[in-house]
Amino acid sequence: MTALLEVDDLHVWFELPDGGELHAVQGVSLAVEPGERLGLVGESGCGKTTTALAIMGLLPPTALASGRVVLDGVDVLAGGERTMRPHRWVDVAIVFQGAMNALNPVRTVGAQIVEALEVHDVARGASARGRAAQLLESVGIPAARGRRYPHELSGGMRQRAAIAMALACRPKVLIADEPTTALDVMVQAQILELLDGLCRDFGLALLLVTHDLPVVAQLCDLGAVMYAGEIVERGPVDALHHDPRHPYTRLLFAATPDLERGDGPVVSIPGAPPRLDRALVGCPFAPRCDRRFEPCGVRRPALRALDDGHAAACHLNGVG
Amino acid sequence: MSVVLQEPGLVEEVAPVRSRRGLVWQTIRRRPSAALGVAILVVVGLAALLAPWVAPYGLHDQVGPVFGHPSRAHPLGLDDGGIDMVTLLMWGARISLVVGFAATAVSMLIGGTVGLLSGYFGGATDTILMRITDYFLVIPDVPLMIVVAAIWGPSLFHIVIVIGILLWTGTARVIRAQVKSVRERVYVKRARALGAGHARIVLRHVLPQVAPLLIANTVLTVAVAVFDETALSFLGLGDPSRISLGKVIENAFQRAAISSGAWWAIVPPGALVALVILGCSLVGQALEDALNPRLRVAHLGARTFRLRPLVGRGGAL
Amino acid sequence: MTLLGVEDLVVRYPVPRGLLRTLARRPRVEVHAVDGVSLSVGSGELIALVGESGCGKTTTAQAVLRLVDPVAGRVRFEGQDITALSPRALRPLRRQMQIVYQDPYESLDPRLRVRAAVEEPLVIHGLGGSRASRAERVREALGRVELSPPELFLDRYPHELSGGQRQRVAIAAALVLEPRLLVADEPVSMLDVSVRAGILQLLDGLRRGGLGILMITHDLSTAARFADRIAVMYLGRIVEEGPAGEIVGNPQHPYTRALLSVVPSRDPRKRRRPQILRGEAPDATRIPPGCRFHPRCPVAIEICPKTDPRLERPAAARSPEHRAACVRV
Repeated sequence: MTALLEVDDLHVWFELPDGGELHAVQGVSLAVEPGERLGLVGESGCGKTTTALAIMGLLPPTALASGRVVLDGVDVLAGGERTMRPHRWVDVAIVFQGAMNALNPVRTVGAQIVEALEVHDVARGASARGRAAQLLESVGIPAARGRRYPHELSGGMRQRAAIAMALACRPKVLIADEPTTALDVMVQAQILELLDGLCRDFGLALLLVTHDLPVVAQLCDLGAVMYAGEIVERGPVDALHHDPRHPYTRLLFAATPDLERGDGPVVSIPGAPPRLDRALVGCPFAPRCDRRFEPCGVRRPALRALDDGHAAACHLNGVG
Repeated sequence: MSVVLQEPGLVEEVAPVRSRRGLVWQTIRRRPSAALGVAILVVVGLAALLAPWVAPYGLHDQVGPVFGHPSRAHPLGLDDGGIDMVTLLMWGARISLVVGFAATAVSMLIGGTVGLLSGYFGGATDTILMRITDYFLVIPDVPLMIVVAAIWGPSLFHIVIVIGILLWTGTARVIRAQVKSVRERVYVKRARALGAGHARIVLRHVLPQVAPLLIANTVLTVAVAVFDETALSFLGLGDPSRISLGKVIENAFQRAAISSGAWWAIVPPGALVALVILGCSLVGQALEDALNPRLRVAHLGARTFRLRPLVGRGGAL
Repeated sequence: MTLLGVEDLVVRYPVPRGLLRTLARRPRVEVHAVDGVSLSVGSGELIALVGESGCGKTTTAQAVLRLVDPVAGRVRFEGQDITALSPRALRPLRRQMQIVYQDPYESLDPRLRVRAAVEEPLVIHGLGGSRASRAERVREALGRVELSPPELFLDRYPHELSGGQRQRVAIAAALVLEPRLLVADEPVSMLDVSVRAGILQLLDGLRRGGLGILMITHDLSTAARFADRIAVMYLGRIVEEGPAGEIVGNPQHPYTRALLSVVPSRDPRKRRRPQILRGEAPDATRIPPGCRFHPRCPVAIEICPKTDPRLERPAAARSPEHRAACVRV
């Protein structure tokens, strides 16, 4: 099966006000098949949101990008905005971080969905309104609420509305950037259940961008762990948890608390991620790594396939 | 019992110190409009300041005929009293700027205080002060000046007070909004939780955040004050014993400069006022843009991201 | 030794009415933020106050520190009733009770260097004697929060530090007054996961040193790991409380059970059966009659809308201190 979405060696640089460049995304490659759920996991500053924006072609003017973003066989990054535009929202849509706070406050929720439909020529007028009502229902919002303004809805409802808007043009791939971060755990469960159902019912592929490991563990089949702008490990989430092949992955899981009240060790990772406005020498995680050895300070490990869809960028798996 | 691997380390490389202290100066350096504005103000200011020593002729020396034409000796001609225009402009600018700054100072003092108290204490204080502000907003400037001139006589002092009274409301509003927002910041709440008194919180935590905006507002107010003074003088409400730029225009107007075709008696002083206002506006706007994050508009526009041709692995760095 | 005692605390906020409503004499609507909360914190204890947004946990913390005024109930600090004390009388007590906020990016004044930020509490309260001795206390506080060597940090501005470091500075500023009680409002929720444990370990160490900590959090996993006792709040009341292990291992109240069931596990093989409650908590201006949880309760019975249950020891409790407010247990 050809991948619905394929990202190949994506690089993104940001121009800094004092003349330098920040290398925010450093050679990211990933692929999502229909119906698959891939969790892009990392902490703040690792480049996951930038990757998501690059896929959507929504990088700011200070950004420079290279690489390929292939949607259904077509490299949409190559022509910049020109090639991106026809696919945006129609083939791949995004629910932004904090989308629930980014709804237009002076238009009703229903009207905003209708707007999405009309802008992309999917439907007009009455048929658009009907479809908007359907979309709202499919995300668990009673159609009548479509006549309400965003501030009249709760946070969870607004997030559902944002998801409905993203689904307006029946995209094949949905990118969700921290969809549950600002929500309470119960509402988070509702939204995750919703995303789960939508993926199953509509055969959507999901790219879930988040720092929340447990959410990925529960919702996604595949995971990709990002650090300092690159993917350091990728594979089925089960393998990431039970057989991590990169120390960062292992430590990240260990640092994530679990409900079982063990008296086991509590892990934190000292130090901080490296600055991305300077060239990196060797493995970017080496300064904080508990298993580093000589090659780590010298050569940057490449993401190497290990077995069965599992890949890691670490010299411990074999130098080279 | 933990496997914390090492002591928490310092952020490996420290980002360059970019404190906000130099923000005003930084803005001026970075934006060409601000630099231009500063240049204008410096030139005009110096000319005005040094007028007694630098002016080509005496302020009261009649050096030629009424409305003498511009010539090599007098690039801007002569006014209705035969006095050199360039000299008049320099001396006029002095008064205009003095009134402008003085009125602004009055306005800043009143407006800043009202805004600070209103925004910080909120509640009843806020309501009362804002109602007072509303009353002052409604007062029409020219009739007020006429009344003041009629009762207490026109003088520089009165003009300064009147303009100051008219302008403080704008400042009060702006400062109040900023103080309100700063007051809600977590570190201010924390200071309160620590038991800090109001004076301390205002001086150490609120004022420093508000000061840059106050400066921007001040600069913009100077522009308005200069304009107001010019207008009032032009209407004959100014101090008759002082020559400000508005007075120069008024004199020329009264003595039928226009019908005499003596544009040099009217246009240059007006242009100079406009120039000063322009200079202040450029600097003030640039400062406000830099300081008010809400004014920064995000990525709307035709420019989008650009592509970088592949130069091979890692070649970009 | 009990540091903090809260009895039947009630905090209400009036919702501002517009002019029309005032003229029409519509009744004042109030937010019942805290509606009868009792708890206690002893020295060397870490109590976690857990709940979703709007449950009143933050307001409770603020009321404890007298940053908001309660409408009813009592707050006792070291035995002394501080509920109605004037701001002036409270001032010396403020040294003993300190707070650490959630947002490390906002809780430090960006214009103050670390040295000034940590020294400020001493200056405000006129403590520490000479400048030299204050400087010494500042260094000591930085040492206690593991920002060593202090020299590296004293002259930095907040924006030069990472989130975790900023939070440590905030804690140092709280510790410099040697308080007996620390209120930590979501101390790690805005920090990266890899950094959280460090801060929590730090708090744990302080607790073992005798500090009493009241920690507000929405993260049950953190509460489970670090707290001695957990109190679960819903719509202004504590619905269940008890030793941490007991609450997490043997929850009795339907709300607590539902909450625990929807916390996602980091292990993909452990998929709990989530009991997802429908809808969201009603707003605190319209508290349901009887048991305030009954509209969303999966096991509500007929008497639930009519009875307001009290906190009592459930039949299946394994610990004498376990209490839940539900008629069905």
